[in-house]
Amino acid sequence: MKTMIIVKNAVKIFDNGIHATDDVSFHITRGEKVGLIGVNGAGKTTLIRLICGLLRPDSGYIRVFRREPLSRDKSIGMKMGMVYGLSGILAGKGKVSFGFDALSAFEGSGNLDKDLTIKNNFELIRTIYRIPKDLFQMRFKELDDALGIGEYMNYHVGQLSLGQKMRAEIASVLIYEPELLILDEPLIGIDVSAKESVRELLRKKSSDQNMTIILATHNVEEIEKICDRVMFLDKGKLIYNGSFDKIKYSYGCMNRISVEFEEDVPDLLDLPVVRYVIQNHRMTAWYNSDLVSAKEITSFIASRYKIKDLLIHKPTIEETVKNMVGEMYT
Amino acid sequence: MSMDLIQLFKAYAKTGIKTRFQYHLDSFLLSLAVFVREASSIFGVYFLLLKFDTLNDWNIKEIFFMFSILSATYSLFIMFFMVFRDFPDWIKHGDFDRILLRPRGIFVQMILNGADWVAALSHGCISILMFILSANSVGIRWNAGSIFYYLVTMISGTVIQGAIFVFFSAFNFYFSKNHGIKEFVFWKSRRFATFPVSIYGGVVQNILMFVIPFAFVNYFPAQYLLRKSDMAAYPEYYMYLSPVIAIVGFTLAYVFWRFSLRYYQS
Amino acid sequence: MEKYIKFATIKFMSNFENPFNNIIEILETLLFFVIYWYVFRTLYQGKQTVDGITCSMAVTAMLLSIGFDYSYYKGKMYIQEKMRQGTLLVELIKPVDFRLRLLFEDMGKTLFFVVFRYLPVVLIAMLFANLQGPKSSFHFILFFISVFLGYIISWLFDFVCNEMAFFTLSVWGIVSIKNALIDVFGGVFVPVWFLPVAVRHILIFTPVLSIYYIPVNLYFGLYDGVKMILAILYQILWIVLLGWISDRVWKRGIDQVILKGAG
Repeated sequence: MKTMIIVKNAVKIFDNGIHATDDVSFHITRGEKVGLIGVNGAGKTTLIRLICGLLRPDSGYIRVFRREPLSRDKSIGMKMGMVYGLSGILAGKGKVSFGFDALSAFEGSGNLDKDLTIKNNFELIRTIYRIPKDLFQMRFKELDDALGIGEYMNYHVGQLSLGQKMRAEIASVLIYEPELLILDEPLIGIDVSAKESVRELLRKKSSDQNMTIILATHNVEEIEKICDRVMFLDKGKLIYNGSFDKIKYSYGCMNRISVEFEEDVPDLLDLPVVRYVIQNHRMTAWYNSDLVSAKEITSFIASRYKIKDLLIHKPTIEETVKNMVGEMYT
Repeated sequence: MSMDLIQLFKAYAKTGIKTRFQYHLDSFLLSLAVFVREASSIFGVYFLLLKFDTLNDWNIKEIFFMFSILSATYSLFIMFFMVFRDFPDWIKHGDFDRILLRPRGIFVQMILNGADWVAALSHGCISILMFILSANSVGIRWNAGSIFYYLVTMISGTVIQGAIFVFFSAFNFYFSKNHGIKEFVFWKSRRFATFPVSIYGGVVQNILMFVIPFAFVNYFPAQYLLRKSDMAAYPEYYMYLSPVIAIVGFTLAYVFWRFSLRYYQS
Repeated sequence: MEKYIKFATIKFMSNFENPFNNIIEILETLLFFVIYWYVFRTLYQGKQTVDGITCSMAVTAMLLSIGFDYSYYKGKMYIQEKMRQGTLLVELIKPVDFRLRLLFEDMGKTLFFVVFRYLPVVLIAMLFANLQGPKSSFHFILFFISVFLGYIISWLFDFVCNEMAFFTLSVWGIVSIKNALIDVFGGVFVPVWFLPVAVRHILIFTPVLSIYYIPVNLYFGLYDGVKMILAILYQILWIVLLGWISDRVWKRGIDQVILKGAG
């Protein structure tokens, strides 16, 4: 099995002293589909940029396709594709204060030339990646069926809505079927009905072509559908690197309860929860819904203290992993 | 955090402020760019007259003086007629934005004001500089009469340019797409007034006098103060005509503008 | 290699989408020329030549310089824009040389402007202005070669200014001043022949003269024999020099952007 990406002890520290990447090591083999999860600011985008050669690590060893990404070997460019949503432009923006500019005129990951029509853009891509005409037509039709980009072929990129732009971006990268596909929250802006077909398309394509994928996302469904492995970043550190099943199971049976009390609450040591956090009048706790019912836990709390407000819902995937990992280390 | 950004983004994209914002930023940069070009074209004229001494008997100082009138009145024009500059654009985008974005609308307008103040300031500085360089070396006797005349010139010159601008702004009501024409006519025909009108051929002269009357903004007023020999080709009362042209011109332009507005609203 | 030609072709073709813009631009260039045509006719009243230059030569020189200057539209701050959008570095991953792509796209656009904006102005000007033709067809060909070299110099000069986006917040000032300098001292607002001798001597050490002035001189055959070759070599020298500078700046700039992650 060919190893596609090797990362050893990568470190990246930004000007403000924050370790965006803190001693991260992992490897990815050909055909693996890896989900990259973590809260915003955990370092996902930074890690992706390190892998792509868009950022220089302060220390560490990184190899992609057996080359250093910073060497920017053109032949690798032919085999790689990258799509990033809004989160990509927020990372490392540093001194630039053009907030309005960034949001309102988001150009996409730069796969498309914003001064040209979609049609011209694809024509350029066909030439750059040397795709024979009929093969190109065939692939394009497949992408059109799934993403519906054909209907705005003659529009300039600048005239499109965010959702249309993102779909076109994804198509522009899938059309040359790269061996390595890197996606940083690519489904942002695409409306809910289209999201499902995009995910399905990604799943199908990546498995048919045996593509290697890195997908940074917050969405559980995407990971479930597309990825077979998950890496979890927290404050720059790689906390979890393994199968998604375990997390899924945890996620499936975990619930989060948020309570606001009338007065300050001392420790609730005997609460049947996995973990809890108390601050002033508020408590957030995670409990296993297989073992404890909502009724049990609510009455348990209510019988002791005066409740002002209460909410039960599913935690985010990041919280789940944190709890899991926290569990593993206690 | 990313959810908020998405909401924000959707709001902006929906109301089209993205395009408007970029347009205003672009027009700000454009006006500065034109300013740099203006300044450099003065240098061009300077070197030209260094070699040729006079242009139709006008020397470099006299041309600078005439140019200073043009710049000064343009600067004043920007300050007072800004509203008419934006208004056609607001008409274009206004229906959608205005309801949703009243507070933002003011914000955008402030930005635009800022941009125009810079342009007005820079043209004002150029005109003051040109004036200082020339006013005392072109043989003008600055007494009560000439100063009064100069002030009247400032006003009439500003109003004339305002009239031209209002007139062409009204065209925006008929064509949705082109700010091109308005800017084009205004900017490019202004350049003709950099030089004494007498150098041009008959047709051009007539246009500059009676269609887009830049000649009455700076050339004839300067003639009153300088009395150059090429004035012989024109009736003497032209030197006093500027205020008349200003009033008549502006009235016509305004009437046309209102007419066009009514046309647009129907 | 074909992909670069494709870049040029697509940019060329995309200009057909907005024909109205072209008419406006043609008028703008034409009006500018008309003003200076009148100016020179007036300046030359009663004189045949000034410093050995006839009125017709002066007018023709202006047309040549103005026309090409308008065609080489230099208003876009592309590196800065891309940096602000965060799409600059991504270009480097692509299997395309970014700088070469920029050059070819510019060539496509410029070719369009020359053919569809400048040429009409020349044709119209021929109707009323007393223009002077090239010294000979040999000189005419040499002129075109020199124009092409001058174009490359203009692009490189613009590119180096754009590269300053790596180091400052806004390159707008640098680019405007550069364009103004070319306008005043390059022969766009006044023929270089009429600039003071001292000024011209200083200008030899800048690329400004090699963009329009050298081609214009070759057009009129003002250089004899050896000097013609030297003129071309002078242009080539500037290409090499500016090319080298732009490359060094590029490497440093990119390194810095990669380190800071801003772009």
